[in-house]
Amino acid sequence: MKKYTRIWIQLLKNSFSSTLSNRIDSASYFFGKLIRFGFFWLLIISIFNFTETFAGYSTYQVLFFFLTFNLIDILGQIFFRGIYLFSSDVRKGNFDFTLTKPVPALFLTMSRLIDLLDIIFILPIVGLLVYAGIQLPVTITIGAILVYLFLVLLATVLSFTFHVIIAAATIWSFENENFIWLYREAMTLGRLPPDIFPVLLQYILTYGIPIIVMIAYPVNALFGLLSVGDMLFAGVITLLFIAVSLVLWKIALRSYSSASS
Amino acid sequence: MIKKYFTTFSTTLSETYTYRAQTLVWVLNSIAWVAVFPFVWLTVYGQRESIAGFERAALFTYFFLVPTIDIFINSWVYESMQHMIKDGSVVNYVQKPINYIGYMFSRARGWQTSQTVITILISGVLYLFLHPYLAFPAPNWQLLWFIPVAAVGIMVAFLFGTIIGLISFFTTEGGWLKHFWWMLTTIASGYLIPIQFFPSGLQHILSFTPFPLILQTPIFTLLNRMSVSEIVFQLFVGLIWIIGLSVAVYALWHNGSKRFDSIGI
Repeated sequence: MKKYTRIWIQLLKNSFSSTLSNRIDSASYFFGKLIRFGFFWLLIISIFNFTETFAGYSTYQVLFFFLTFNLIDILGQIFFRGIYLFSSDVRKGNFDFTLTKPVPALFLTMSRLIDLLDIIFILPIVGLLVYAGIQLPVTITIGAILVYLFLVLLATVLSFTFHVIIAAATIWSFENENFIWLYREAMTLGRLPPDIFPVLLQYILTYGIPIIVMIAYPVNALFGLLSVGDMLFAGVITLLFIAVSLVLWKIALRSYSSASS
Repeated sequence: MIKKYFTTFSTTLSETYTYRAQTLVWVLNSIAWVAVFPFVWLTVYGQRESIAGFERAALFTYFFLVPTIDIFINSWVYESMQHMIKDGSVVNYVQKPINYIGYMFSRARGWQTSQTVITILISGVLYLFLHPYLAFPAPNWQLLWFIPVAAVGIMVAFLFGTIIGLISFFTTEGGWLKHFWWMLTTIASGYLIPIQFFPSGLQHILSFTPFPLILQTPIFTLLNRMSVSEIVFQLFVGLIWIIGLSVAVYALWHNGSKRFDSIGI
């Protein structure tokens, strides 16, 4: 664990140097991200010009869904952004160098690209989560906060498993940009309370692509709306996805033909 | 003269057929992005039949058409332009007896034509399930206005995309520009919500911009929600913008290709 932390911190330092060397570009890119975020925030506020409640939730409850989505999305970006370089590595044969290093290939594949801006961006998200949490019309207990944080951790693990499945698919198809964007677009279905979707879609987003487990479960746990059975289900489905993704990764690695072979 | 651009167009069509899985995933991405909004607004409608003069079925039909019209008209040409300028491959086109902007336009139309066909096929399947919730107008001659509206919309979107792409001649990182462009088109062309839901002052300002032509105006034309005079006014605004944007594209290409420095030149 210590070794992995050391490597990750070194990669973070590299990212820090890269961000500093492109100060204007980084600042403007960050500004663009903030605008994108602020724009959706405004959209949610605008929705409440037409209605008192949204699927039974108040303004700050809906904002809490949106902020939790952002938190989980950014955690995935911080730790697994390396996936964006993976298809290029596979196509050009650079993945051979990753395989020869004395570090698990999966770890290096996921973490070899870190964007400092993601780490900076998480600060306003956490600040707004605290702000929205204070405004919520329900009483939040310490226990509910702990369950919320635990389920966010599970969501990050689930995000990892999706990234692993995409990495495996990349080895087979040599292409991952569209897969990763499909995953990220699908994730955006979790920006708002899942109650707005038809029941069939809710089932798919719970049991098939568990986006509801990743985003709505932590939020509902905080609101005191999640049953113990649902919490156990979140744990079981996370374990299942870990197992499936790692098996797929191993199978994909076996079928990888290096550039030199 | 035109033949080389048509060849580019047909070659790109074949290319998309070769990479059809990629094209399909790309189309699914576009549909996934917009899929949430009908549900959002249907939840907002609740038991009400109409908000801001928009009936529930009309709004659902609007969002049903968004992916097809977006893929057909909008332009993502800046992605490949930025890439070509960054890796230097744009130099190949400076030397060839083909206009780079024309070449990129033919390629973009090639990609978008095949993507539009796939989107129409997917929408056709969805129509079988969703038709009780949709409300299309009966066929009428006014629908023919869609042709000039789409043509102007395509030109406006392409020229804006080209400007964003060519700015890469002057900056190393154009990602922030893409964010700005995304944000502008998302708000101002009617992706999240028809502009009709905006305050009247903002609607008035947007009617002088080319953004509605990229999405809302073509959809409203198909849904018969605009009078002929409103369509003509939008076309007139669009044509003025096309002239201005063409001048900007020419200036950017002229100055950018002059200052461009590539190994081997």
